[in-house]
Amino acid sequence: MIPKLTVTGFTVGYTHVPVLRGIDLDVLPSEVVGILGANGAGKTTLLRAIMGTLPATSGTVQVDDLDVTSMPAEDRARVGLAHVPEGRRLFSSLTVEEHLDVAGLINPDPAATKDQVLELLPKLAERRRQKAGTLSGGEQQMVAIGRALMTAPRYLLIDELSAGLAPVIAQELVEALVRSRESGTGVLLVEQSPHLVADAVDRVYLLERGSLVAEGTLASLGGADRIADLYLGVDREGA
Amino acid sequence: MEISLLNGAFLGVIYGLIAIGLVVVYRVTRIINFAHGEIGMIGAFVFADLWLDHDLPLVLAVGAGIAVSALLGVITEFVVIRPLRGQPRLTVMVGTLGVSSLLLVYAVRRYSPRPRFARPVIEGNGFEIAGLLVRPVQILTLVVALAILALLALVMFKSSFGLRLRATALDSEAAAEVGVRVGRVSMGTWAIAGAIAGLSAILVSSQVVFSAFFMSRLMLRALAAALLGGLTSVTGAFAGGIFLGMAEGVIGFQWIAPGAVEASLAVLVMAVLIVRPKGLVAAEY
Amino acid sequence: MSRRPIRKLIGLVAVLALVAAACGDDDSSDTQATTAPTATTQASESTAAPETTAAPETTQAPVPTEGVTDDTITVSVVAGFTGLFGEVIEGIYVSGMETWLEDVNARGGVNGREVVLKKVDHQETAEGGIAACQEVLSNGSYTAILVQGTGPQAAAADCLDDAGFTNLVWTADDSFVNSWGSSYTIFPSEEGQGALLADFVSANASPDEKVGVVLLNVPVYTRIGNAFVDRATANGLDVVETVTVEFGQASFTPQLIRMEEAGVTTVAMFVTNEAIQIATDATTIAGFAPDYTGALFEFDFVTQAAPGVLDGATGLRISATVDTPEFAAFQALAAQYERSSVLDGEAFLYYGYGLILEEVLRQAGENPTADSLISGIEGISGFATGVLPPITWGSGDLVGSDGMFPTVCCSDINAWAADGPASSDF
Repeated sequence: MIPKLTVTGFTVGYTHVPVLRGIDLDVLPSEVVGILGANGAGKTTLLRAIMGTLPATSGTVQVDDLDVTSMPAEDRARVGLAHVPEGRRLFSSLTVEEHLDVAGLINPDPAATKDQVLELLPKLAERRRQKAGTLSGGEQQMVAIGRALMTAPRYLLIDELSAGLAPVIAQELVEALVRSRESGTGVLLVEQSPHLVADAVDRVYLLERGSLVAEGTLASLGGADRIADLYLGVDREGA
Repeated sequence: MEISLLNGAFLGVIYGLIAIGLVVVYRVTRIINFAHGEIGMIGAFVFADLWLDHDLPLVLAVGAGIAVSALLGVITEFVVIRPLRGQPRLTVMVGTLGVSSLLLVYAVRRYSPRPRFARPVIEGNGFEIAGLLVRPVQILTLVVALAILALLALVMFKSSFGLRLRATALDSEAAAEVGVRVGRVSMGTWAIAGAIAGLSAILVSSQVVFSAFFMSRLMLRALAAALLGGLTSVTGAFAGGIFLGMAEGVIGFQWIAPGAVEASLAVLVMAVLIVRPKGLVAAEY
Repeated sequence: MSRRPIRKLIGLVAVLALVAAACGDDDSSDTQATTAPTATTQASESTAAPETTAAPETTQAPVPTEGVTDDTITVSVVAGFTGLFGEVIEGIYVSGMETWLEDVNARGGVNGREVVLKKVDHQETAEGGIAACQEVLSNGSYTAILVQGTGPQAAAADCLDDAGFTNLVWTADDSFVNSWGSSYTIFPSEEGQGALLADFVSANASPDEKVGVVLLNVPVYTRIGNAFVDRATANGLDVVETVTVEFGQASFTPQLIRMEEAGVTTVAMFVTNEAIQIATDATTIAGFAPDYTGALFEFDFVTQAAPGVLDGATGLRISATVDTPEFAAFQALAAQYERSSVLDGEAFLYYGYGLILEEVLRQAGENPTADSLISGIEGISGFATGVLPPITWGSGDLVGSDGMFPTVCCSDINAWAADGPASSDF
C-alpha cells in the first residue's frame, strides 16, 4: 500500500450536531493539499480532529498503514502528525528556542532538524532567546511552524497560515513550507483564500458546511477565481 | 519587636514551605490542592512510625515518609484529577477536598486523633538571637525550603521534564500536539508536590502539635501565602509565607483581642491582593 | 472560592478536636477511697466500686415503670459514638463502662436486676443532642447518663430536662445547670471548675505571682477561663495578661513574648493539645520559665505526646489519676472481663460513671419508679469511690460534686500524678 495520510468517513460534532460529516481525504508524502472553505465550514475542526485534539464521532484516521483513530494527540505526534493550530497556541513565556526544544523531544535527531528549521525560517535564529509572547504576528506564526516541524512530522496540518498576517509575510511562509516538502513531509493546508495557496498546492478539497464537495487540482476545479466565486464567497445553498 | 519579627519569620518559613507545594500543583493544573496538607501529614506519620516506633534509621524513615506522600500525590492525580479532566476546576478542587477528608479520617482511625510524640529530625540546644532561641530544626526547615526552591528552579529551567512541565502549564493541548505526555507531566508534578508535602510535614511535625490535623491547620496560612505570591510563583509563595509569618508575629504580640490576628491577616491579604491582584511576584514559567 | 471549603473543613476539625478535649477528662489524684456512706462498700480496695448489697429479689412491681422489668433495668448512655473521635470514645466506653457493666451484673445486678445499657449517639452536634434526647425518651430507658460532649450533651440534657426525664449529665455551663430541675450534674459546672482552679492556684501562689491567662477561642475554654479570671482576681491574684489564641495556631510565641514582657510567672492555659506547644514555644524565649496551670489539658494523652514538656504543671481533674490504687484495681477488673483495650485515665473516668450510675440505681430502690429515682438521687451524700470526687445531691442541689482532684505533671510514665485528695476547698 502507498504510504499516505488517510481520513475515512470522518464525522465530528462538538455536541451532538455534527460539524463534519463523512469526510474522506488523503495526503501523500511530499504533497501539499489545500482544504478551502468559507468561515464556519469546519476547517479548524477537521484539523483538530485529525490531530486527535478533538474526538471524532465516527470514522478513522490512518498515518501510512497505522490506524491512529484511538490515539491521543501526544501519540499521534509521535507517529508523525503535527499541527499548526488556529491562533498558533504558543507557550507565551517560553523562548523561541524552548519551543523548538520541547517539540524536538520526540525527534530522534533534534539538532539536525533544528538546523533545517532555522535555515528555513532564519528569523527564528535571530529571535532565539526572545519569549514567544513578545514576537510579532508573523514571527509567532513562524515559531508555530518551526515548532511543528521540530517533531519531524510525516504530515503537517496547518490552520489558516495567513490569518492576521500581511500578504507578503504569508507568501513568505507558504514558500518556506513548499521548500519543507522536499524532506518528504505531506502538508494539509487549510485556507480561506485560494489565491494565497494557488502556487503551493498540488490538489485542493472544497469544504462546505461540514462536507467535502469537490476535489482536484485548482485548474480542474476552474481556477482560483472561480472557486472563490462559487464556493467561498457569500454562503449559499447547495454546492 | 525584633523578637516578634524574628519568630514570625521562622513561622513564615513553615507557611512558605507548605505554600511552595501548593504552587507546584497550581502552576500546572490550575487546581488548588486542598489535600496537600493531609498528603504530607500521612507521610509524616509514616516517618514517625518508622523512626520512633520501629527504630528505623532517620534517613530511611525520612525517605519512606517522602515516598509515601509522593505516592499519595500520584494516586490523587490518578483518582481525582485524571477522571475529572475537562470538568470545571471547582469540581476538581472539591475532589481534592474529598481526598483530604478521606486521608484525615484514615489517619484518625489508623493513628487516633490524639497528639503524638514528635522528635525533631535534628536536636540540639540551638542558639539565641535577640532573646529568641532558634532551634536547629527551624534552621534546617529554612535551609530545606531554600534548597527546594533552588532545586525546583533547576528542574524547571534546566531539565527536559521542566521544559515539558512549563509547556504543559502554559497550554497543555499545544504541548500534547508536540508529543508531550501531559498525563505523565501531571503525574510527575503531583509526585513532586507530594514529596514536598511529605518533607514539609516531617520538618514541621516537631514544631507544632503533632496530630492528624496538624497540616490541615496550617493550610489556611499556606494558601494565603500562595495567594500573596500570585499562586504561580514558588519564590513568591515562600516570600508570601514569610511576610505572613512576620505579620502574625507582630500582630499576635501587639493585639490580643479574640480573633485579632485572624481578622488582621485576612484584611492584610485582601489589601495586598487589591493593590496587586496577581500577587507580590510575577508568574514563573 | 478556594478559602471557603477549607474553612469549613477546619471548622469541622475544630469542632471535633473540641469534642475530644471535652470527652476525656482524666484521672487524677489519689483519693483515699472514702467509703460510701450509703452502701456496704469497703470493696474499694479490690474494685474501687462500692459493692452492691446482695439484691433481694423484688417480688412484685404492680405499676410497670419504663425501662424496668422484673429482671432488667435499662439505662441510656449518651456520648458522641460517631465522628472522627467516635472510635476513641467507643474504646473508652468499652474499657470503662463495660468493665463496670460486666462487673455489676456478675455481682448480681442492681437490686436483683440485670443492668442493660443502651448506647445513644449525639454525633457531636447540637441537633444530634436533641435527637439523642428523643431517642432516650422513646427507647425504653429508666434513666440516662450523659458522659461526654460539651454543646451536644448540654442540648440533650436540656431537652430531657424539658421533658421532665430524670438523668445524670457529667457537666454543663451555669446557664444550663442553674435552670435544670431533672438533669443532675456529676461534676461542678464549667464555671465552677474555673473558679475552683482559681482557688487552687491562689492557695499555692507566691505573693508576687503574676498570672498570664491563655484562652482558646472556643466557648467551653473561654467559659472556664473567664470564670478562672474572675475568681482569681477576686482572690487577689495579679492577673496581668489575658490573651485569646486560636485553635490550630502554628505558634504561640507572639503571645508568649507579650507575657514575658509583662513579667508573667504563672501561665494559666485553657487549651488542650495546644498546651504542649505553648510550653515548648515558651522555652525559646530567653529568660522565660513560668509555671503552668490551667484546665482542659490535664489529660495523659497530652503529656504522653510530649514527655518532659509540661513537667511541674499543676491543675485539677474531675477524676483520679492512674497512679492510684483505685486505677490498679480497675485495671485488674478490666483484664478480668477482657475489656483492656483502652486502659487509660479516661476509661477510668467512664468506669467511675458506671459506679455512680450503680449507686443511683441502687438508691432508686427495689421497686424503681420515676419518683424513687429522684428521691434516690437526692439521697446520695458523700458517695466516694476514689475514681470521682465525693458526690452529694440533695433537694434543689443538682450539682453532684463541688470538688476536683489536684494533680501534677508527671509520673514516670508521663501521666498526671495525684497531688492530694479531691477537694472543694483550697
